[in-house]
Amino acid sequence: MRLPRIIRTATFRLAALYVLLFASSVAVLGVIVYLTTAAALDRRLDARIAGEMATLKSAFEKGGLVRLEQEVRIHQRTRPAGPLDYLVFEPGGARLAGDLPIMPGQLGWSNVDHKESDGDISHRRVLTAAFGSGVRLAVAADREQIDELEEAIFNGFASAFAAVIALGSIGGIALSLVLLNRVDSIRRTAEAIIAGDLSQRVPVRGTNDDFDRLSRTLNRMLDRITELMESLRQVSTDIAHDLKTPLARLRQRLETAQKQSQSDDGHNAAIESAIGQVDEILGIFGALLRIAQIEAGTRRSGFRELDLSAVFANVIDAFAPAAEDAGKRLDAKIKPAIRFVGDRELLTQMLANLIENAIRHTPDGTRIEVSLGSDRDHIIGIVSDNGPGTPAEERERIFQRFYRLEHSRSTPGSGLGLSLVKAVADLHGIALDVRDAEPGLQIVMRFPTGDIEGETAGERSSHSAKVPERQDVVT
Amino acid sequence: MKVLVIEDDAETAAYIVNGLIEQGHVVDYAGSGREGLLLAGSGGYDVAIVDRMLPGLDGLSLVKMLRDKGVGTAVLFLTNLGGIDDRVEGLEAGGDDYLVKPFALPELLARVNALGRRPAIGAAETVLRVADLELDLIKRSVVRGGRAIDLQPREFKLLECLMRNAGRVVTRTMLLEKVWDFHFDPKTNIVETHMSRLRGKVDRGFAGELIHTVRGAGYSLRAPA
Repeated sequence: MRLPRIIRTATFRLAALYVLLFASSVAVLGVIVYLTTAAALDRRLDARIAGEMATLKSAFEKGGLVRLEQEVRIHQRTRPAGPLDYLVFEPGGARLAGDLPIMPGQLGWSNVDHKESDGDISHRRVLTAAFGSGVRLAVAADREQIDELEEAIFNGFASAFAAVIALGSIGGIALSLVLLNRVDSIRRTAEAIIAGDLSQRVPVRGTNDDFDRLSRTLNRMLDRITELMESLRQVSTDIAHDLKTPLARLRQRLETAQKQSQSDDGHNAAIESAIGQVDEILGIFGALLRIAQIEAGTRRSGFRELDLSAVFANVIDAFAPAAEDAGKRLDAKIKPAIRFVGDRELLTQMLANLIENAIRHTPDGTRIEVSLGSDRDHIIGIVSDNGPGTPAEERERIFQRFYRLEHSRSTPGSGLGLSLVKAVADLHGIALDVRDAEPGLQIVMRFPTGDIEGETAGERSSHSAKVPERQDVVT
Repeated sequence: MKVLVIEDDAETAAYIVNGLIEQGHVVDYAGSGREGLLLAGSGGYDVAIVDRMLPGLDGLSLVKMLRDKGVGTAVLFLTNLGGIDDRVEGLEAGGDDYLVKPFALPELLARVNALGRRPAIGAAETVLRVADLELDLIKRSVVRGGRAIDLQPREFKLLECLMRNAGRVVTRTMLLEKVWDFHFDPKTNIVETHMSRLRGKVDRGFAGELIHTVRGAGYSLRAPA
């Protein structure tokens, strides 16, 4: 049964309340109209009776009873003031003239009911007056017309009241049904997703109404969640895959050591290589955790103003001999004393990973260039090499976790170095650009300058007090 | 040296304690923060090894309380893998050094040794001497056997670090931290390449090697026997 559910919907309750209010106002309006109309009609009737009474009274005063009886007969024939009835009688009850079928009891105004010959009961408004001592005159009007009018007004409003209730209820139910349908379709989608089908989407009607807009927003949210889930799934698969290899290798080595080496030296060598293997696995875990922590963004609280040029110089200084020993050249063009607000440790590691990446994935004789420069509005750091470079279609993917070019699969490395670079860059608002150095690979870092509170104001506001003014940052 | 180990994981604690005892240290052990605080406060320890995550009272609060009480024992924090903010927090709380778990025992021993002899280095000392090698911190000059040796700034710092810890093992990680301020592990052999250049200048052409490689641990600078 669908109806009870409809009654429970918020829409129906609102509609019911609205109908109730509207119906009540119709009822109040009806009562007011009825009462004022009835009062006005009554006043008009009384005025007519009183006017007639005055006319006849003046006839009596001019010509006595004879004239009065004469006038009453004329009035009864012509009824100049409308359907009035008259009766001239004596206080004792003798009817002298007129056709009023009843005998009024008292003087003044009265309402008299009378059963007519045809069985209907008539209601009359009667005014009785005494002329002199022996003559009384009653003028009466039938209230039938007024009663009919009042009844018509009452009936009219009663029908309107019933119609409001009926139409309102139908409208409320219809409205509730429509809304319930839309809400239900969203609910059904949500239930399906809870049940595990993340490909479900809320149907959009194309009317661009509130529900469509809500549905579109929900669908966009679902798209985003799907995307995140997909990347999460990808990462866990990659982690499993990338850890499986060193673990398998570790197992092989331990097995070999168990079978073959009888000598202490052999054992030691096997254990040493096993420890190395475990360290490699731990290194992957460490790098993943570190990236996750950097991405969480809590590190920003440790941002300080620092000499970016010194950070660059230190890293280059550290890597130059290693590059040379690896048969490569590391050249640097660093503009001194460029200030930046950030985390020294992470920026150091970012640059170290970029340079390491260039050293490790290029052939002998490669020239690696690192530069850092600035003008009023920009700080730009570049790490480039004239090695084989990266195919254009792969360039955007180099920052993904565990991404490695096919040819570099054989060289050691976790494929996490550049992911960490990306995480650090994102934390600092540094834009990374991967370009073709023709030949070779060029990675451009655009450091944010100017209003530090600008694009990431919301996220940074918590430590804004520590961030110096712009003019201090770029000197 | 008298060393206090505050670590709740029994296996890790045994690993550390045994390693320290083998090296000839006197070791006390506490399995919880409260117990550790009591021992450290009553103490006379040269070095305390404090795990960051302890039941009851965490390592950070423990060290803050110790420092508030005026206990000057050198503190080496042990932190978990990936805790990138731990080092700064640890140092701010009054720690002197930190080490990320899991670690190699020689790394821990080298750091404990370096911490334990810290007060021995007078801040006023401006010339470091080992055998016929002399390093002048003011003039930034190095002389061996009366012959001046020209060093790059990083090589100078590397040599200074080795000489300050003369006779003791200095690990690769310690050098990365002290000389380059690298608090991560680069895959490139930075230390090795710099060390080989330094050796080329300090040892080559002189009688008796001063810089020695300690297998599986690091480097050590010591006078020839």
